[in-house]
Amino acid sequence: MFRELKFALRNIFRHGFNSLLTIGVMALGVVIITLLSGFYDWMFDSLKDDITKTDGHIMILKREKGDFIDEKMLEKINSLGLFKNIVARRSISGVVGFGDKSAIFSGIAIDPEKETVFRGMKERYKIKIGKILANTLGVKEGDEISGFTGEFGFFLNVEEVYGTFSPELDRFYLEVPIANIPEKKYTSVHLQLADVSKLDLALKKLKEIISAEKYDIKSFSDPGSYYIAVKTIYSNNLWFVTIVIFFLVAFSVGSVLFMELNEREKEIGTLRTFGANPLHIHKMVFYETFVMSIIAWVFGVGLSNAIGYFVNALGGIYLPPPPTVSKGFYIFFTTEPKSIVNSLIVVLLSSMIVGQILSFYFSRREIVLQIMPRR
Amino acid sequence: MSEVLSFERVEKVYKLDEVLVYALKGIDFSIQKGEFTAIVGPSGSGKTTILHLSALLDRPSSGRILLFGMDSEEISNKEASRIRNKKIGFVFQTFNLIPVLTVYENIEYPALLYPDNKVSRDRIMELIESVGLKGHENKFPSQLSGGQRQRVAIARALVNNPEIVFADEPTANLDHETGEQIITLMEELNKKYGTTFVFSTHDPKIMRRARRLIRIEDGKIVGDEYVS
Repeated sequence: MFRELKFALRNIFRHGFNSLLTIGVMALGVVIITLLSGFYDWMFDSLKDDITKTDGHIMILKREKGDFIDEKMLEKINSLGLFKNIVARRSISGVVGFGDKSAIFSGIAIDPEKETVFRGMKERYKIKIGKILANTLGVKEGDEISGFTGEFGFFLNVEEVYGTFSPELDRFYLEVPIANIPEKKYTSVHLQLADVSKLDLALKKLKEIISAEKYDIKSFSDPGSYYIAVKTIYSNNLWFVTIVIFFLVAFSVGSVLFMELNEREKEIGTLRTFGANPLHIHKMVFYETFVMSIIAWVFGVGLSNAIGYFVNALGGIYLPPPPTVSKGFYIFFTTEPKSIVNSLIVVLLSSMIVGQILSFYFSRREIVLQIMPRR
Repeated sequence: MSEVLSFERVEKVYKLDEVLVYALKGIDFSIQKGEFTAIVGPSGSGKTTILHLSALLDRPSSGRILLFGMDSEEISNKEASRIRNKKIGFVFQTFNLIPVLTVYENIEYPALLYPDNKVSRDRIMELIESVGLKGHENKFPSQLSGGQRQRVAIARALVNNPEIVFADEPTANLDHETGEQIITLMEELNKKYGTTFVFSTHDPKIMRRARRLIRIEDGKIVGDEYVS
């Protein structure tokens, strides 16, 4: 095999510019696949990270007919000694007013101090109001608003006007400091594990102390519908790009390889004169496309890693906020072994399939036509 | 002496665009083992076609070719490849060396195609020495003169100990002196290994070196004589 690889390498280098062009296109394909999947992987990771920072590794949710979660249950959960952070939240709804304007709201009561620690924030967590609700009330950051639910009334300072992808959320969303709730009873508890590898153990222990009939226990590894939807869209997108690159590489390799084999047709005829059968020609082209793919892949992976490294080191690429979202964000690249392997499969498969189709043609032409001096 | 090749009323017709070209018009001859035969005639007379048909590179339009006692029509493409590798050597007018392979590798290549070819490094070095290229084994074809390239081509044709070697105008691209040296080399190998040589030429000085002359004109044999 070493001999075949050596000959393949020499054949590739004899067509210097052509081969360089093909390897360049193949490497570009590898760069696109690796960087694009690197970006998507970063996005999926960020999304997961965001989920664990916002909702924790485990959520305990009050079922419709279940009891509220009380301080006693929080103590029992804490006594398991598996969690580094625990926050409790309470779903609330009611009416909120500012000046002569009022509107209904739906949101949550939270403890801003605990949320700051839970979400790993450097600055104190800010109490938020939905962008459309704020517009309806004519409220801006720093204004004091008042409201009431069926259970309690409250005053609060608006600290942040908040925009999301969901107009429905922005129309009704309001956060209220949990100190306003007269009874310390909650609708959800969010737990961050001290050691994520103990997720299964934690779930088992929680199920021992919490009634499954009254409470729903969810882990972050059961992805939510938003995560699934985002991942499906981007995975399909990546598939589409991968297929385009597959054909791009196939056509590029095909056209250059056709020219090269055409130039070498006399050689192929000579090899067949000395007893090479079609299988030998297929094998020769197989090794050449294999070597070319590996060179392109190594080059492409190196280049994409270098690009990813520099982009990440420079603080990411800033993207402006999409419509209805208040803040822009920075994108980064994460290189996963999976995307590197995928890019290898794409370049190998596309170049080898095309190589074998062409060798089928060139290994079955009449030998006398191949060895004839060319005009 | 035993017969290695025979042509019986062989015809070869090519279709060039819409025109039928009769390259061979009913050829009959046979070659015995160990012969040193020249097929001579003007350009376009059918010499190359005879060599191509003899080496199983092409099929006749009609008639019968017996190679080592086998009817060429009954030999499959796969078997033909195997026979070309093991029993036939071929030398081209334009040498047809593989440019990315060294002298040693060019000669070795046919032996590598089938695993049952037992060709040692010593055998290849012996061939290199016998064609006068000792010390050139690691050179690439581009580093050799025309005569040296043809010597490599002859060594390559002999690597699997073929029973017969066909050479298509092996001296046509060489100066006269080098051409004479190549024919001398072929003669020596014919004597040393007993390999049958059939070569085509239209050079009168080269054809004088053959022990048998088959003259062909316009696709027909017009003379067949043994010369001393």
